[in-house]
Amino acid sequence: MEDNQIIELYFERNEAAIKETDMKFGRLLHSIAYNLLSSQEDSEEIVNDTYDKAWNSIPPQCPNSLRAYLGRITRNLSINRWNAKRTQKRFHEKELLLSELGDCVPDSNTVDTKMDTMELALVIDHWLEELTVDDRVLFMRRYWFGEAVNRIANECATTPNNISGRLYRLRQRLKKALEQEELSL
Amino acid sequence: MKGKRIFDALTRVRDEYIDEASRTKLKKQHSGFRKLLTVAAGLVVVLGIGTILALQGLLPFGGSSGGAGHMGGSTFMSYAGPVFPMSLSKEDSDIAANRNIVYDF
Repeated sequence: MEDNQIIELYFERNEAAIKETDMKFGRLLHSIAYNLLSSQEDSEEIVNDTYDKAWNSIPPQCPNSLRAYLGRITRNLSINRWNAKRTQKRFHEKELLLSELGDCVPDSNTVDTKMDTMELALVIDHWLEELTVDDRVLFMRRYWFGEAVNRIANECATTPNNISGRLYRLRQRLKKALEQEELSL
Repeated sequence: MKGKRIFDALTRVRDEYIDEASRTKLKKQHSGFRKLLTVAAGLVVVLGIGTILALQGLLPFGGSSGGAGHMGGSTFMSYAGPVFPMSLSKEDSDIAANRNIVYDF
């Protein structure tokens, strides 16, 4: 079923919307949650919460891209779950992602104003636009979808070291872009 | 943690990048070793063919020695003098023909 037909079902308050959403995006949403939380049980709960949130927000929301809309909800819910459970348990995968992204933070905080999340997202958006499609997809697959380096390396028929090297160079480029904006994090 | 703000901000990037990343397959990469292997295999083929041609004397340069007068000889080896025998319509004892062949290798 096409995305706009699924959205129409939400607007009609037809519960088949959830079933169709699950059939089309269930696997993707589960992988986003699982990549961040490393727990089947938590991931299933997060995916169900995503459907719940989508049901309650569409309408009035009418997303241009249902895939991105649902993915974003899942990612946010997973981050919240991770934050809530962080004190109880360490999630290795997300810790790893955060530590890698720490490389992108400019060394010197010369300007007093702190960049808010929206501004930061705009700078990252602009930076992503300048990348080649392959580099952009690689960066997003690792840091948005949280895919493991080994899995990405498999898809590219190369070694994990090679992918890690490419990711490192991309992080350095992002760091440079953030430094050019002269805003501290 | 330093990377957390970037990680959180990433959630808000444009929809099209999220769509693109979830639909696009990453390009397969050829590692340096594979490239080297491909170049080496190419070189082996070229050298092999070259060796076979050289052994059979089919290369256009550095041909076999002693091939003067050979049909396939180069213009350097060709004869540009008069063609014998020469004939006259009337017999003339004042005319003499001398042949002088110089082998200049």
